[in-house]
Order: sequence, then C-alpha cells, then structure tokens
Amino acid sequence: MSEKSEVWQGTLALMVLKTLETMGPLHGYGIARRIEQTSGDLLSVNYGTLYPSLLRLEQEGYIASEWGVSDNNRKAKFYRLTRAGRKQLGKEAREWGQTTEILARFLAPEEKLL
Amino acid sequence: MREIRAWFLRLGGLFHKERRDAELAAEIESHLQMHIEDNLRSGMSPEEARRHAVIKLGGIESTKEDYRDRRGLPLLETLMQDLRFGFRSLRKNPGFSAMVIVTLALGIGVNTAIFSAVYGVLLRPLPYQDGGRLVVPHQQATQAHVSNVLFSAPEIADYRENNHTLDAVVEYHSMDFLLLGNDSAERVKSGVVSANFFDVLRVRPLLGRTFVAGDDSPNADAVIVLSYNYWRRQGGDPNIVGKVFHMNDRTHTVIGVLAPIPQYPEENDIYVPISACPARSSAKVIGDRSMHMMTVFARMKSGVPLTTAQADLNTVASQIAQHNPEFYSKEDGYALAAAPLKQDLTRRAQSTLLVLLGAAGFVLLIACANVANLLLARLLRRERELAVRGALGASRSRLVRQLLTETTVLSLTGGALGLALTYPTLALLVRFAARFTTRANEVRVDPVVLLFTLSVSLASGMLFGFLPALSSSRQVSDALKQGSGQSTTSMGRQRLRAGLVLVQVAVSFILLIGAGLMIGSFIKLANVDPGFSPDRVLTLNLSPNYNRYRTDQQPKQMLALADNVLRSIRNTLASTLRR
Repeated sequence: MSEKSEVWQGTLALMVLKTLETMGPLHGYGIARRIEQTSGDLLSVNYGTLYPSLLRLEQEGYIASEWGVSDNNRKAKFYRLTRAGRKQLGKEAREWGQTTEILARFLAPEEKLL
Repeated sequence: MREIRAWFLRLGGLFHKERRDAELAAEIESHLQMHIEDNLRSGMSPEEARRHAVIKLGGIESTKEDYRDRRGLPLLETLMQDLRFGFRSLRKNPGFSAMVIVTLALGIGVNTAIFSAVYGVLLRPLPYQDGGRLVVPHQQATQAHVSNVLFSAPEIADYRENNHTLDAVVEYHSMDFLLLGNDSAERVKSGVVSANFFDVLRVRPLLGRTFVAGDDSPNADAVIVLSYNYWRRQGGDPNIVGKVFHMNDRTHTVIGVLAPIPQYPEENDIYVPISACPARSSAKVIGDRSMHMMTVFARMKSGVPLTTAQADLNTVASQIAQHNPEFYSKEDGYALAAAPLKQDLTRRAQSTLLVLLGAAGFVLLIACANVANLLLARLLRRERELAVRGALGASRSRLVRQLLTETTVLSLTGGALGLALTYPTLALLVRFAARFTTRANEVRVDPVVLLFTLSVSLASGMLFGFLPALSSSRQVSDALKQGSGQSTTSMGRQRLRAGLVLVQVAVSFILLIGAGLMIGSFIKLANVDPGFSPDRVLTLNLSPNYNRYRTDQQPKQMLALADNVLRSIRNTLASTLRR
C-alpha cells in the first residue's frame, strides 16, 4: 500500500461517510467529485486513492455497495451508508471537532507571538 | 470487533481473485466513462477528455495495486508466494535439499528421542494422584557408607507406630512363586505388599478390587491381584475375577486386575498381601530385627513439608537405635533418609539422560553449523538472482523474509523426517533407560514432545537461516555493482564461514573427547578381572517352596538332587548351582 499517512486515510474516510450521508447512495466517481467540490484541492491529484478507502469502509461494515444504473444510464457501483456507518460518522465527527478545537487553542498563542 | 470482521473479509479476499479483479476493472472503467462524459460536456475534445480523466484517476495500475493490497492480506499472500517459491527451488536442487534435510533430521531426531526420554522419566509428574506426597525412606549406616539398607518387619512396625507426619507406611518386596492353575504351572514374579499399598499409591483396579484392610491379617483368605500386562499375556479373560489358583500350598483367589499404569518400584506379574508370603508371614521374619528384606513407601500427611517429615523420622530412628543397641551400633551411625518417590525412582537415570541430552544438543549445533555453511555456499551462487530482485524493488527485509521462509521449509521438513526417525530410536533408548528406572515405560512421543520438536525445528531454522540471510542482505547492492557475474566473497562473509567452521570443529572436539572417555571407561570395565573365568558358566535361579524348604538342610538336599539330575542328563555340562 502506498504510504499515505493514517491521518489522510482517516480524513478521507470521514469525508466519504459525510458525503454519503448528505447525498444518499452514490458511485465512486460521484463521491470523488463531491469531495473535490467541497474540499477544494485535497483530492484533485488522485481520484484513485478513494477506492482502497471505499473497500476498507465496506470491509468494516460502515458502507455497503451494489451495482446500479447512473443518471445517464451507465452501469456503476453504488455505495450507501449503513446504520453502523451513520453511528461511526457521528462519533468521528465529534472526535474531529474536539481535536481541531484543541489544536486551534494550542496553536493560537504561537501565532500571536509571531 | 470491526477489525476482526474486516480481517475475515480480507482472508476471504484471497480467493476468487479473478472475479474480484474483473469487478474492480468494471468499476474503474465506469468511473472513467462518467468522467469522460462530463469532460466532453464541458467542451473538451474526445482525446483530451480521456487523457484528463486518466490523469485525474492517478494511475490505473497503481490504484488497482493499492486496492488489491487492501482487499487481501499482503503478508499472507507473500508468505504463500515465498513458500511456493521455496518448495520449487528446493525441488530444483534435490541434492542440496536432501543433504540439508537429512542432516537436520538426524540432529532433530536424536534430540526428540532423548528429550522424550528426559521428559518421560525426569519431568513428567508421577501418574499417581498427589504423587508429590510419596516418599521413600532409606535406612543408612552413615559411618559404614551404606546408604540403602532394606527394612525388617519390626523396624517397619516401629516407624508406622511412632511417626507423626505420615498418613501411611507400606512395605514391598518381590519373590518368585510357582503359580499352579488347572493345567498350568508358571513361575511368577510376585510383589508382596501391605494391604493398603495400592491405596497409598492411589492405584485403581481395572477389574475387581485391590487389597483392603484385613487382606494381610494372618488368617485371611489368600488373594491375588494381577498386573495388567500379566493378565493380557494370559489371554485377558474378562471373567478372571474369582478364578482360583494354587500357590505355596494354598488356594488363592483372583480379586482384581490393575489398570495399565507403570508399576513401582518394579514390574511384577502378580501381587499378594504379606500374609500370603510364606517367608514374610513366618514367625522368624516377623520377629527378627535383622531380617532386612523390605522396601518401604510412605505418604506424607497433607501440607507436611519433606523437611518436617524427615525430622520426625530422625526422631523415630534415634529412638529405635536407643532401644535396640545390640542391632544399631554407634560405629555404624544409624540414620534414616527420606527422598521423594519421583527423585528416588529416577536418581540413577538423571545424570546419564542429561549427559545424553547435552550431547544431542551439540550434535544439533553441529548440524546447524553444517547447514548454515551449505546455505552460505548456495547463496553465493544466488547472489545475482537476489541482486536483480533487489534492483527490481524488493526491499531488504522482503529478501530476508524470503530466505527465512526457505530455511523454515527446510527445517520443518527435516523436523518431520526427524520425528519419523525418533520412533525406532526411542525403542532402543527405552530399553537402555529401563536399566536405570522403571519410569522408562512411560517414555513416549506425546504432545509435549511434539511441541518440543516443532520449536527445535523452528529455532534451528532461524539459527542456520538467519546468519547467511543477514550477511546476504548487506551484499545485495554490491553484487550488482560488481556486474561481472563472478561474485567475490566479502570479508564479512569469509569471517562468518570461518566462524561456522570453528564452531563445528570445537563442538565436534567436545563430543569426540566425551565419546573417547566413555569408550575408555568401557574398555577398562570389560578388562576388569572378576577373579574367576566366566566363560561357559551358566547360572540357574531356583525358587523352592518356602514351606517345604524351611531348614538349612532341605535346600542343600534339593541342590544335590538337582546336581545329580543335571549330571545324568548331560555329563559334559558342569553346572554351578547357587542357592
């Protein structure tokens, strides 16, 4: 596996879960576009990294997939959030909130000093 | 929980790879098509649209590779690959493989056999409930350097009545009796024991019962308990209990058959209570303090440590010596030493077995050094292969892992073959150990021994595989630079080889010296002059019925008669009869 940092993997997974919660069942390309739109440049380099993340989430039971037909009549694999995924999303979102809050507080005085 | 679920799915991901690959390809293809369509809508030319989509995806093959790694368990997959490759390369070098495997099989086989003997005799707990509480008292004359005087009946009675730390004191001696059935007469080795002997050892009968209190009282009916092996030899009659035999001019009834567990202190055909032994039940033996003929076993009270029991028995011993000064002179230094039963049974075998185990360990060490040298030589020839694989991107740890997998395959195969060699060796070893301890009968290959073999195989695989593998991994980059294809041996590796040879020679020397000394002692022993010429001299053991040969005169008459008979049968046979 390419050495993407754990943080990146976790971030991406959280974004996938959030996307599926907002948009409902969606195919990989749709998820990639959506994340690109909302997160700016983060995913723009490489859509491909999304697929191992999707597989991992599916193995962990947070999302489920099945083949369906897209808006423009193309066969595609659709992913949807499972009940466990919804719970996990809530939990991780809370944790991220806390982490960023702490880091923000931690980093703020430094910036003032500069 | 989630991790376990994912792990199982990934384990499942090792199968149906083609179908899963096809599905991934279809998913990525559909992704690309959707992207291309979007790009076309935004006004790109078809070619540009496709190029753009592929770039955005970021390398189809590397995406698929990452995906596969996540789908299965890469570590397990490479292990399987290495195993397959290992087996293939071993098959391609049958001479090398055979040499390594046979060398290891010998080393591991010897170690397994000797370890099973050590474990069966020295380590495994006695097959008796609470065997740790069983002790064997020995009477000693310390000043005369006699450490094992048998007990007389009055002495046993003294210890039984005056101790405060023992639950029970039982006695044992063995006699040869003539057992007469309806149409059979057989000399049987008979253990003569206290009625509670089997209760103290906690031995249960397979059929019927063992002795109960009263079976050894003077007027009790004579009863017999058969040993399991004797009962099997006699046909294993399931209705044997209640059958009647004649022995020592009395009728004996079979009351039980012992379960098939090893007998201590020695194997007997049958057991009788002391009242059924004509010698033991005679007034002479019962009353004479100097008729030392019995072995004694005792069970300590629960929670009593051996030191306390020993102190208690010392007190009894000094009382005995005080009350009977005519039997226990001060010069002899009468004492009583109690040893745990297990230690007592294995004392004589211990040093021999441990020496053998040490020697076997050295043999294995030599085998490992040998194999390591062979591997090193082979690695030299594979340098190019490894260098190329390194250049193609195999990491050092990956190469070391592959080499270790190969050596593990070798060592496990060697271990399996060694285990097969163990069985015939073990039969020899058991016969040898039986000369020192009755526990030899308990020696067998059991799960503990198998575990030992497995660990020894794995450990030796690591031992002889790790050194060459490490030395090689350092070389990978250099080998390519040399480029000529003629690998030269580096200093480090030369030192390693020299070290291995040194170990081999040193250990071989230790073994040779040990073996030489042993042979030397053996030759000396064979040359000891016994003071008579043992050539063509036969010995003959007779077990005359004690009831009929009571006086000193009667056995002499019988021997004279037997001598006459033998002379008349064959004049040339000069026989010496010993009473």
